[in-house]
Amino acid sequence: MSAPSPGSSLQDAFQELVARSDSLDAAALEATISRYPQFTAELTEFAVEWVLQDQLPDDGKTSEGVELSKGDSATPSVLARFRQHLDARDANSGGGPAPLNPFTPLSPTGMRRVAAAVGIDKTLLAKLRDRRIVATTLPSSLNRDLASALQVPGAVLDAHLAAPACVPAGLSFKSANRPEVGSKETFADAVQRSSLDDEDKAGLLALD
Amino acid sequence: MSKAARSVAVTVTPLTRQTGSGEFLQRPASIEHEIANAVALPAGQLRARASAKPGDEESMSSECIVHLIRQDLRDGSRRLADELTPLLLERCEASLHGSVRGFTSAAARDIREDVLDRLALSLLGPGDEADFLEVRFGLALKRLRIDACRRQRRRDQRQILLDDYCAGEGDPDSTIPAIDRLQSDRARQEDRLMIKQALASLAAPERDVLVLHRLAGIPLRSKVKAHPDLVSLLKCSERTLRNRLRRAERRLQMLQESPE
Repeated sequence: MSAPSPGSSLQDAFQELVARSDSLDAAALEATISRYPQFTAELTEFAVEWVLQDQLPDDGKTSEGVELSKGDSATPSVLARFRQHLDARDANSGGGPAPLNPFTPLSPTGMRRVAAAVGIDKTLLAKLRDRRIVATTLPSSLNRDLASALQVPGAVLDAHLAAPACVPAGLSFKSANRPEVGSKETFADAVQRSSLDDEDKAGLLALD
Repeated sequence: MSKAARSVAVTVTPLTRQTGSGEFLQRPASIEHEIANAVALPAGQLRARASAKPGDEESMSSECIVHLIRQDLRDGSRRLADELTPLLLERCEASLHGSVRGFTSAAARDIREDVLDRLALSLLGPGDEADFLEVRFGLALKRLRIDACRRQRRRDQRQILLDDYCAGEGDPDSTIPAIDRLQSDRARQEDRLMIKQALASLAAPERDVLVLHRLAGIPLRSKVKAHPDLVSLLKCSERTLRNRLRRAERRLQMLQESPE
């Protein structure tokens, strides 16, 4: 099995351990520790707790027909906090979380990296990020390479590109006026207006 | 109407979380099918299915409920999320109530609250951390539960004063009956209390060896090189492990003899 992705969290390591076997297994613990050596202490502690939870005698409580008394149930307080979070979110954004935008996590360096990986310039990539290119005019091979460089399934990128054009949130602009959402253009037009040299432009326009 | 009675062509939002090996998480086909059918149901029927007891033929899977809540929030709504989240949390709390062991009632309630809080917050998150809940909900809940127990036990341990810590020599086998009692279904309430005190009073290195060796059966040193053992897992010599085990069992023995 390959190494975990760099952004893997402690919870990913725990999840991998519990997914390996129904009860704690020495080989599973060793395999998980070898993949996440930075979490050795936490994984060991987790394994110990897993064994205890499996082997300690139960207290005569079962989930069958359980009806917790109001004072004993944790659900109402958790639900109250959940609704507070929702209220705060609604107050801040006036709506729900934005639909998945595969470009959102990218820093300027990340944008450069992705642009280089698919062989386009930053201007063209920014137009794709802002959904200013008609999705159906995009070559499928470029679409596939872009999804791979962004590390998202193709369907997520398709859904993003098909949505209406937008002004990206969280960016700074030098203009005194608020930027406006422009109309969409075809991929061929966007390539012609890019800063790429003629050879690169011809290469992109020849893609299937 | 059976779950498979209606099939609607609906594109279910794909998951974006990657596994450790770099593949995207995939919902099982049965869950995809259930979701595609659920989104076409009238609100009343949806609520009825989500409210049905898990295991009933008409009941909705937790994976499907999670998807409906997250999709509702992604769509900028909260009508479904407001209706389905309480049902999901109640379902989870009933399951947790029977599966958190070795803690006082108050601590067990704290653990349940901790698990449910993390679950609810992950539903709200705009990222893909909750994707696993749409794939194998039971396993994700198990991970959250064990992790919450782990953190609660750490808090418990901080509160116990490690006084008369004994590091003397002794026969480790003399305390095996205590381990047997730990595993016995017939353990009495006072036994459980003693075990809890013992575990809480042990320093982590001793407790780890005791539990992993005596309860999980992992050998201190395996005779077969390919088989994992505690020497390799805990990166300690066999002698150190034996010393830790001896101290842990001595402590357990002392608590058995004078449980106060």
